[in-house]
Amino acid sequence: MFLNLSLLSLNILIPFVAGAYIILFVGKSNMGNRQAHGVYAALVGSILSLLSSLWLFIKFDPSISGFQFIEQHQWIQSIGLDWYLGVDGVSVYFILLISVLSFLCMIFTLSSVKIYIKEVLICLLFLQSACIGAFASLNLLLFYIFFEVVLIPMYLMIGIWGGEDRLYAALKFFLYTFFGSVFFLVSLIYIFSQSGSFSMIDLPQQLPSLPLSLQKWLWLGIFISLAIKVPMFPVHTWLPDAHVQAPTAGSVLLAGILLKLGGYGVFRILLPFFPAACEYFANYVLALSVLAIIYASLVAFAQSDMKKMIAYSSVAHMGYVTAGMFTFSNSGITGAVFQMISHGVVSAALFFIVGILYERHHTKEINKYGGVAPFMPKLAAFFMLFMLASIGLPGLSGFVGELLTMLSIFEVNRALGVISALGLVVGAIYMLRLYRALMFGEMKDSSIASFADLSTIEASILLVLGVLVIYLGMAPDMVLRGISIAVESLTEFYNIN
Amino acid sequence: MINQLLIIMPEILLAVLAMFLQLIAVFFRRESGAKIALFGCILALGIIFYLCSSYDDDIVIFNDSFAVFKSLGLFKAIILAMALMSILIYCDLNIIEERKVKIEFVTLVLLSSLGGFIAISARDCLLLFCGLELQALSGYALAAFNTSSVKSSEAGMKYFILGALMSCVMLLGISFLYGFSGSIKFIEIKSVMSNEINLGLIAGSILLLAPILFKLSAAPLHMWTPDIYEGAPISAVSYFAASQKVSSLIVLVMVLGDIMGDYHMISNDIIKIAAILSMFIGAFGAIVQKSLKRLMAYSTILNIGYALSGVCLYSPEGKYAAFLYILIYTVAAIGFFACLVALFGDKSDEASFEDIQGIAKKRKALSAAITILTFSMIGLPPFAGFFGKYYIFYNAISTGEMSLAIIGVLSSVVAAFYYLKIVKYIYFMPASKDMVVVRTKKGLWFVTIISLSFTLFFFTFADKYIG
Repeated sequence: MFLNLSLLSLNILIPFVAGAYIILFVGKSNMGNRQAHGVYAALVGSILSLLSSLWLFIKFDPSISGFQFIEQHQWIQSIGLDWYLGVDGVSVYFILLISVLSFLCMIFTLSSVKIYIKEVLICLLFLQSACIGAFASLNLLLFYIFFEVVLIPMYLMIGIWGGEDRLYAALKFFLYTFFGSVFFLVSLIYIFSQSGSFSMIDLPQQLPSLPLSLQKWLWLGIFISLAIKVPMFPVHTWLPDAHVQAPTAGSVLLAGILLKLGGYGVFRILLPFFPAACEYFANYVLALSVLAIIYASLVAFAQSDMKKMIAYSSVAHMGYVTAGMFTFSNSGITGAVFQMISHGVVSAALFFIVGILYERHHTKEINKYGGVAPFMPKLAAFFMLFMLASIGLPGLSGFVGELLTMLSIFEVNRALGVISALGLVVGAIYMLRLYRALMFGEMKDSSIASFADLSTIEASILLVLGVLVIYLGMAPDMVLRGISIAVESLTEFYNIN
Repeated sequence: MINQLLIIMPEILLAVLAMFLQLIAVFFRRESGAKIALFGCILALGIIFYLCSSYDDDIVIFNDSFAVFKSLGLFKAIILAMALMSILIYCDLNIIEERKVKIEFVTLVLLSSLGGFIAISARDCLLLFCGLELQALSGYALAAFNTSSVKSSEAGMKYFILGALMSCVMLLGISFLYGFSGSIKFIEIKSVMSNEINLGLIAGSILLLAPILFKLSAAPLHMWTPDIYEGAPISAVSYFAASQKVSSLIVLVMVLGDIMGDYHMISNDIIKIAAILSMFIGAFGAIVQKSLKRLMAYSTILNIGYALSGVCLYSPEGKYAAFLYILIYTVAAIGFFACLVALFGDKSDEASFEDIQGIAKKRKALSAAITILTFSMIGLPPFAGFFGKYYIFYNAISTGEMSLAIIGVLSSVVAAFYYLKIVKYIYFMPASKDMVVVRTKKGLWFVTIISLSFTLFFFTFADKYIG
């Protein structure tokens, strides 16, 4: 099995092996500085996995519909578990995004975290490995396993390196997600007992023939889990807590990758497996998503904590994703996927900026800042870019996804389309307000004058993300084409009127 | 005759070994107790290999009263291996505390395992009773083994009184079965039970099942578990929680399969109720606990609930899932106890959440081990606990027991709450007081590493054991 590992397996295994290496060998190494040994191992692992993801991206042919780099190995036959991997035009972008963000997080963490450095590196590497695994797996149970494994490093990251209220936030994060995923597990086992297969390629042919009442239950079981992960309106409350308490790297990965697991699950599992149930529930999901857009935007408006504000803006932005998915139109789903990628970059960048400010001022209260721009001009420029991208300014990445999803919502339901457009306006208001309160106005604290502008590492992190934002905004066509080819094979199931 | 004696050689050897150790300990100075115990362990390991290699065919000897199956040989090896781990924990605990190793502990554990051997092989009600009594009587003495502690004596006394009561109930049940079927042989009782529905036989089988459920600490007969776990010395608890639970579960499955016959609908309902109650009580009872041993007691109740929900499916796969699950859980539990002993020595008997607060700074490896075992008990992939739970739920759902599966997953969410408390105290809280670092001994490392590697790497060899 190990001799003919494909590129995808390598992508999953490299960070894992690097993490395992740190656990096993760094503690006992005779090298002078154990910490440096661990750091080098982690960096090598991270860079290698970034390179392998890039290689995957380059080798990937976006013009072919269906999965590429498929590999399948028997694992535990009797419960249907296979090491079954493959990527299509949607997951390949996410895998690249994960590798980039993880690498940036690792650099940022090395310059900011002071305690348990070895452990934080292990958590980051395992998290990266599990996330790539989830996006690459074509076996439903394998997806579930990776989906669950993600919980452990994230729980530890929030709990160990988090803020003051980290105990509560970590527990809430874990229990909410775990509660959802046990229903996922029950649905998944039922699917297997009905169809005898976990293959994500075969199941879309088999499952739609199940009776609708059964489909609805299975759909609900999976939907609860994914909705908590996304998170959707009534079950979103863990996210602001987790974001506020998590360390910067944790917030970045949470917003940039973990939330996308939910949206990706909707795309990969719910839509193709249960078309009838999806159509049955579509109106509810649309209404909830649009409600989330407006509600979360208004709540974000009222926040005094920067991270909480961005967390609620994440809930609002993810509302466009779920709404776009459940329009079942080609443009809606494509827009939703694009919105996820764009939000992954933009929210990650915003959390990095909050982290950079927090490093200097040690508070996340918006009121404690003010007038930062003259002292940190580079930061102010980058912040402006990402803030505008988050609002959805044309030419930047946020615009494309939101426009596509909103058009599709409008086609399905005029009223909901108009309301979701209103969310964009509210979003602009609170983001501009945040920018004004932080960057302009009078200084609330004299120590702001002594803030150092971005260090080389910080600047290069933001530069990478900034380039991505502009590239995605200016030339979305390349990414959109890859996505829409993958989406087309999905929307064949739906009769679009 | 000689042939038959050869077949039960493991039991004979075990009995001889137990008494032989007691005897030679008289001739040596007490200081060498640990060496004698180790010597005994090595001999017992020989018995394990013998058990695994012999038993070629499935036969029932001694006038249909003693079954010798290949699968039973494997189970016996597991039971003895777990008992040996408890002995290792006991020896190392005494070395840490610089006390003499009392060889009686080893004798009692070996005799108790012998009781388990006899009970799982018994195909005759009285032999079953003898086996369970031998197991239990040694257990009472083990619970009271720490003679200097009032709590331990109290635990032994409680265990003895309740256990003796349950033995009476069992005898009553056997007399019912004998009275209404005319035999004490499983095979004959089964043939009678397959013919007619008889109230006396129903009463007899329920009275026979109740003490076995008691030994498994399945709700509603679980009351003794937290108290005895709290009072008894931790090495004895590790024996109760691991080896004894495995043998009791096998006894339960044998009794269900070989006696109940067509009455299995009734007995399965009883097991199902016990499973649901155990999951419920195990999940909610543990939330308020502060002592780690009491927490493990409720965790045992909860996990017995999962195992019973595999048993009550009355399918071969369900039984197999139950065995696999109990094996995974007990291996994790024994590793957990070994970690506690390695952390606190004698104080592990009273260890509470405050004691493990912030230990991650000083005891990195042990903290990581406890965390992994805990995550496995929660049932998170890729650890062994996930596959155990998955297999139980899979069998429950494919037999149509959706309600059982839903209750199971929900109680695992509740259980996650208190398991996570362990991780929270270890990693997330600052150390509250200076911790006395106990020097860890080789035996404890051995137990921890075995338990940990089984839990961690189960997914690599799971293919052979699942299905």
